[in-house]
Amino acid sequence: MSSPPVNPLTVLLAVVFGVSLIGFLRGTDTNDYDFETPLRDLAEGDHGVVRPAVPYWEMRNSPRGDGPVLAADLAALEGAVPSRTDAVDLTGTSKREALADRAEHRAYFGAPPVIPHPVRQQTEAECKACHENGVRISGHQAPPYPHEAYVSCTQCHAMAEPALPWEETTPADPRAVDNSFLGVASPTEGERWTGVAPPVIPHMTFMRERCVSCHGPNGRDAMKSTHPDRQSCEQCHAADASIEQRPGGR
Amino acid sequence: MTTDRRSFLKLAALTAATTAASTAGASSGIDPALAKRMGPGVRWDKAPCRFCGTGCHVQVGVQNNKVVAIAGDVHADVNKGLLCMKGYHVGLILYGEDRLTKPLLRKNGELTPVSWDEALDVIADRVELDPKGFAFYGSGQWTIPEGYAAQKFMKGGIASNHIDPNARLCMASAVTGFIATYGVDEPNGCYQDLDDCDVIITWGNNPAEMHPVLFSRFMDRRSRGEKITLIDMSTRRTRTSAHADHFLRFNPQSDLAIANGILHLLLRNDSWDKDFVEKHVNFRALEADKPSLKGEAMDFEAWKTALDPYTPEYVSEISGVSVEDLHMLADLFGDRDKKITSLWCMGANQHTRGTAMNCLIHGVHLFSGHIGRPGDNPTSLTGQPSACGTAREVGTLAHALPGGRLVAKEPHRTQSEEFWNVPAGRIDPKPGKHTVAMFKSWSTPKSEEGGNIHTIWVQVTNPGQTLPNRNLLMEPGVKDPDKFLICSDVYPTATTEIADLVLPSSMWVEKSGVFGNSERRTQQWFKQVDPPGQARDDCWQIIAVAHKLFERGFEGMKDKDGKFLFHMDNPNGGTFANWDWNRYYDQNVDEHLFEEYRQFTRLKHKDLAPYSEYVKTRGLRWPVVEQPDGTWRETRYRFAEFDDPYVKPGSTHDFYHSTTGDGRAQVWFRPYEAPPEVPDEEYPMWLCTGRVIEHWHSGTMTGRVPQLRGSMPAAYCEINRQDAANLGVSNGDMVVVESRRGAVELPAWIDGRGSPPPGTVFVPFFDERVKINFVTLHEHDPFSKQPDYKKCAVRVRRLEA
Repeated sequence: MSSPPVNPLTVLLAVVFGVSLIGFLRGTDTNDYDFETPLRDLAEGDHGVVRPAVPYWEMRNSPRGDGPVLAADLAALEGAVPSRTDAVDLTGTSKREALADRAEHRAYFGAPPVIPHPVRQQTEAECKACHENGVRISGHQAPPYPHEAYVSCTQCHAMAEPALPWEETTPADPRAVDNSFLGVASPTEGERWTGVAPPVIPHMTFMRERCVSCHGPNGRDAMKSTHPDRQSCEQCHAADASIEQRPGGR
Repeated sequence: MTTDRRSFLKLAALTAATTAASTAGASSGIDPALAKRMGPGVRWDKAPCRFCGTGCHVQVGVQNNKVVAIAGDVHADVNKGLLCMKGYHVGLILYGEDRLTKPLLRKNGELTPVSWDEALDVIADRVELDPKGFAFYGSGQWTIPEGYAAQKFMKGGIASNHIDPNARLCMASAVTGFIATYGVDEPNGCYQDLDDCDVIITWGNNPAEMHPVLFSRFMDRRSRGEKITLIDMSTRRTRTSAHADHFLRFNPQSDLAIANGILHLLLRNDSWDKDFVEKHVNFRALEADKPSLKGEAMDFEAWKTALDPYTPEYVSEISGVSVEDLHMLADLFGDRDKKITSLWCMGANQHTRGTAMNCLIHGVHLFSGHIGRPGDNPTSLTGQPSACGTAREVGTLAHALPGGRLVAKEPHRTQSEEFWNVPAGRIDPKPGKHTVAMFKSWSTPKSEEGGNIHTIWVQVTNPGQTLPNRNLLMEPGVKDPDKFLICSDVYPTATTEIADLVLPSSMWVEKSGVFGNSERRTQQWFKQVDPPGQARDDCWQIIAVAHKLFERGFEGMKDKDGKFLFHMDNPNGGTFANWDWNRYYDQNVDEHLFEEYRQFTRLKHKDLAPYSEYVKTRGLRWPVVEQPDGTWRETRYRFAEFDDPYVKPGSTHDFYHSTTGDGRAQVWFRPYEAPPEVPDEEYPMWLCTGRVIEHWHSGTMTGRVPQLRGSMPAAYCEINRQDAANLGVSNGDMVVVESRRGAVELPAWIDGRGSPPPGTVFVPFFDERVKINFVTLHEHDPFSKQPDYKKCAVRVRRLEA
């Protein structure tokens, strides 16, 4: 299950996943998700014209051309997977907004983000479909994961919305109290030796080996690298030993 | 408060290097103004995680006396920098708004603030009322020094053996299984098994949710291109099953039949390890008249005959596992080239036949020779951070003394009395009441036989939510004015709700501590922040009550020389006033207690290093033995000559605490027997209870972490689609789950976090509003006294609105 090299097929697959995600989002305008009903079951029986899309977590194992997915209008997905050679626009949001947006789903800087969408409860098979290389669709961004591929995604990532597919009706939870924890804030920029020197990396790099996760074409605008075509980040940007867990650090 | 600050700063100076880390500027989801106020420097220090028995190390980031960040500790061998969602959010457990900050005494039915001094007096009064009726109920979350202090307070001071931990409900059957098999508690292997095995077998265990970091430790090997086979044996489909190569669903209780079926096939296929069995194994059965963990010798031929009935067909019929899968298991164990690690936890332990099941898992490994090399071991997991270190090693159990000693054994008592410097005969030779018996006695009127326990002091656990069959074990005591419940805790819980005296405690890095995890690893940490309000350390609470009694002239709190039982010398001369909270951190009380406790650890070859060694490391696995050059060496593999210094040279494997005194381990015959309660016409379904990844134990800590509560806010009844259809129930519809003992109402979830088979429902126990332990069974294993939370008969119906 090692990461495949980035190649046109991967990009195509990502586009394909994107199509189904759009279909999925369109089909679930309300919060009425039912992840646990195998979608194929709906087609079984005598429904006549209904032919369901291949669920995106099954696409990897699905032969090409199965279902109507590939017949979708690929042109609508243009830009779903930005290229490393696209021009970079840093004017969209301020860095402060970008960091605030990023912090939205984290208890503190360094905490694993909570998952802002429903997920299936018993398997992580589909996480990779979008998060292996990342996609951006209709303003929604699925960042690539910044660390090596762990098999058990929900080990670290809790769900932002309850896993339970219904509204709570039981009496109020006596434990649902405020929590006054105040997490450490994100650094805003790396120090530069001179005005033109490349900034040092202002955060720990452990489990953030894939810089593109935040700084690549799928990153938030103000956090993007201006030079995504360059592949070897640590060639110019030094890690700060004093904040890493390594000899000389903590 | 100023003294607190001073002692805190002193401790800070004691601990590892401080490093400025992150710079807070304009930030984040947090109010930028607040973020600025946090100042520039974050001080990092190590601590083991507060939650499960895995024993991950975290780095705790502290700023202005508050925890502000957590990171996985990359230098920790256990977790190598990775945590689970609970570990990453462990810092938040300190900051729920409803922390207990004042001692509270029930007056006219209301919990009313009182001073610490008054609270201590109330406890001293209860002790003096009748010391033999005073009981202590602790937990596997006690630090080693806390548990040791409680143990000494009860057995060496009050001379009452009524002290038991909640670990009784959690891993007592693992202990009896180890003792019956090897003569000594705790695993021979360690987590390195997870790196080296070819096959993992989970026996009624769901590590993907319960021990996530260990689960990743072996499953992530797949990401690195390694081949690893996971065989998940379970009574329901879980997240672990989703990753399994083979999912073997078995009927509740039939795990015994499966293990015997494997042994049967190893015999039939002649694929057992004859050389290993010849040299290292005896066969054993229970005595017919008075069964004990020692058992009696069983002739090999008789043992073989006893296994005759366990044909694959018979076992398949009982268990529901296919004949092919049973052959697959037996063929794996029959292959000596495969390295097999078995994992189990509550499924095998919370079992009315828990001791038998533990013995059988060891038996399968021993008989097939899959033991004693890296990757090839039976590895029992624990659920609490110091179930091993404190409950099992310090021995905070009704029958035990520290270091594997027994109150019933005269030489053990004598030696403990010497270490404690108390008069000969101080320790009561009669074992005290175990958990279920303790609460049964507390819930029996004092005028009736067996009702002598009048007071229970609860620390670091929540029996109001976790005891089985609460209507029987707690409710009568709650209503009886003669009975008194003291509860030390950090938040309001189902136990503080019914307690007569509530003491606010420090938690986790608000105090120093030492934990012992599932792989024999002892891990130390220093206090890093101050507790809120008047919250104080559990260990201090024990010492302060002891001193209160000492001041009143209570004989038991004096040692042989008339000194205080917890006397500690002040290096500058005189006595260190460890009972005075303002002075408590002037010295390291943990170190004092730990060094005293260390003397106890040699008897069973569980040698611990000096406290200062643990300060330097991310834990050491015992036995830790001093080397000629003065360094201390830990032991990864016990009973194996290549690693364990206590193994007789030339013997390859040496079970040197063998119950038969010949260096051999015992392979038992323990038959399958039906459980005490099975579904019938009236109560036609099985109920299984357990945890989910978001919450830990009864959820009092994780429930106050928004990210964890937000992900899993409420308990539910996991039900099979077919049963749901029959009941006319869909997702979210309320159902009633009812047993002969009690009932709860909760929403149904079909194919949710897990999928039970038809005829089974599953309910997690974390939700205080759904006290599922009014429904469960208090029937327990005859040896370990551990109740069975995993199976009882219930009926489920739709709740009509």
